[in-house]
Amino acid sequence: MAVADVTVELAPSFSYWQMVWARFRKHKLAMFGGAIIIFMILACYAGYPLYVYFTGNDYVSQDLTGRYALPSAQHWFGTDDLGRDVVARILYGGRVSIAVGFISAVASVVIGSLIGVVSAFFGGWIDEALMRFTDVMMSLPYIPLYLVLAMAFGPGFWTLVGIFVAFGWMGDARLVRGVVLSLKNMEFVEAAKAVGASNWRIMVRHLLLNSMAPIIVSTTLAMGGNIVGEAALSYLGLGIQPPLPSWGNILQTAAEYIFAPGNGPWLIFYPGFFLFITVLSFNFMGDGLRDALDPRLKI
Amino acid sequence: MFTYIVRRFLQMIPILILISILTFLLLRLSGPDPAEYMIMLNPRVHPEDVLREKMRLGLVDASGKPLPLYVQYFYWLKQIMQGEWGWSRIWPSQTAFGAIMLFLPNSLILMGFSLLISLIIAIPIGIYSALRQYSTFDYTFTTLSFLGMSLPTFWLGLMSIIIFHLIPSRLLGFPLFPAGDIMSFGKPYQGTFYDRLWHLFLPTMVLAIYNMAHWTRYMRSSLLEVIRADYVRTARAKGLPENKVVYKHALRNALIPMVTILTLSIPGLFAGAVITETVFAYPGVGRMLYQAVLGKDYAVAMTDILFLAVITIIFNLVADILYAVVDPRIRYS
Repeated sequence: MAVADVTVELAPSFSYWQMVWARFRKHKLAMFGGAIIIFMILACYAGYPLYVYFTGNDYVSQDLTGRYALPSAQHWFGTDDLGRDVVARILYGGRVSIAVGFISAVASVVIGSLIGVVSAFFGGWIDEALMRFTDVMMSLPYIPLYLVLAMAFGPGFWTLVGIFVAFGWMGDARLVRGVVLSLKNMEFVEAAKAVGASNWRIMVRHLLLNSMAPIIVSTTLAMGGNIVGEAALSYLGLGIQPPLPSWGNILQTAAEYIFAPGNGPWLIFYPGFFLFITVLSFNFMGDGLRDALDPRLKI
Repeated sequence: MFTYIVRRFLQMIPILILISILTFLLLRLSGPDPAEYMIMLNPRVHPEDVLREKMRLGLVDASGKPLPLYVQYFYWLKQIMQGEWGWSRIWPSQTAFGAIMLFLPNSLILMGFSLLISLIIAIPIGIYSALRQYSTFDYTFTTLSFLGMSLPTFWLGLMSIIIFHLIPSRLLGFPLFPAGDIMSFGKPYQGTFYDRLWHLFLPTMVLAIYNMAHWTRYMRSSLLEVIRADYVRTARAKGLPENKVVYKHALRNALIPMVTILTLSIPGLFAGAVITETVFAYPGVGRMLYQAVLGKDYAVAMTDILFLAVITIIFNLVADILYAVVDPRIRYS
């Protein structure tokens, strides 16, 4: 007797990252945020040279007879107090702002995660010492210190990054420590120890990789936060220094001449609007990633 | 409880010492010492006077050789303990602490008002959002709170100056709201209550919009946390009317974390708002600090930082104690 032909229909199986993507895609605002971020990065890095090529306006060349020009086909957003093209400055300034946000967020999350994982993994006096230090850093009034440190080290790109890293890692350290404390007694860590994995390998490959979800979310949110921080310090004149433009110092120059005759309100509107949209997108994306990576996550 | 408070007080000491060391190092490494300012202010000052001043500050010994940094630290600490804050460089005849006290009331008014306004608006919105989770109302206000959180305050401030000051004064000939400062100078109504209120309006609103976004989210998530708790289900199961379940059982528990967050945000009142105060030229402590940093008035800047650090630590402690008071489930031994 012949065996009946049976076709077994397997439910399609998905990897973790496929499920994350499926969940992320449903979050409309997060998708919108992600699209805006990609657009901003493309506009600042690829769009700027194209804009220079097609209109001939770069971010430094001045035209003192054409100050405060109205928006036109030649200058899409008009010109500023020195007759420089505002689009070119915003696109080039965007590079600086996004770079500060990106570098400082990634660096502080790396430092924070390492401190967190070391603290939780070794425990004892190492944990105690690192966590007390974290407490001290957290109780420092960081905004006044931003100003003092920026002044002391001389304002500039790397000073800014350094300050954001120095005061940005504590949250990540606590976050990662919490996750690792709950992971480190699980069977897979014991198994790794049993096959003779080194402490370093266990910390990086097993513990840190398993706490990726909160790390990714907090990095995304920190990028947005640091971009605003950069703009705020540059607005106060303690961040990126002219002639290098950033969204903060473009806004500052525009604000300085706010009551000058001929200074159009759009000179203040545009840089701030780009800043706002970018930060909003990072916040939306962080929110979507939180839901997508681990719906139970609380940050 | 009492032993817990004592222990927490003792734990404050090493943190305070560390903060004082950090502050001292920043002060010494970031600028010339106060005696060198004497020379900068008056180039004809007698070298002996400078040396005496340096000795008084504990920077050098009698032969003019600089003392080691740790000895300088203890001298400095002694002076701070005795209430000798040093003199301000840009606010004449003010001590560093006096300068802070000069600007603090303005900041407390501004920050207090904006906190109050944002709480009054945000808490009901947060509660309603949580009770109608995923409703249109909830989606609208969750999205709005994202917008509010992402709005850079300096841009919002500048845009509000353009909309309420610049454009009306160009079109109508008079501004709807002043662009800055705390009162109109040289007017018959200078410094009256309404004049002050008129000047407070824009900066308060800018800060309130920013705060509101955060408070709405806190309130919503802390109520969502308890609304599914077993004791809320029990309250429903025994037939309590819905508003009693919400306001007596759920909301009161949801307010516990809110008390903590509120206590932790009080040091912010003493810090002022550096950026908003600068945008509106509002004479508060935040803007004072900014001016002190730009003017290299390190005595004022460092005293302010130390002052804020102490207040932050104190309110951390208060928050922990209050947490135990409002939540009887917490037992400290």
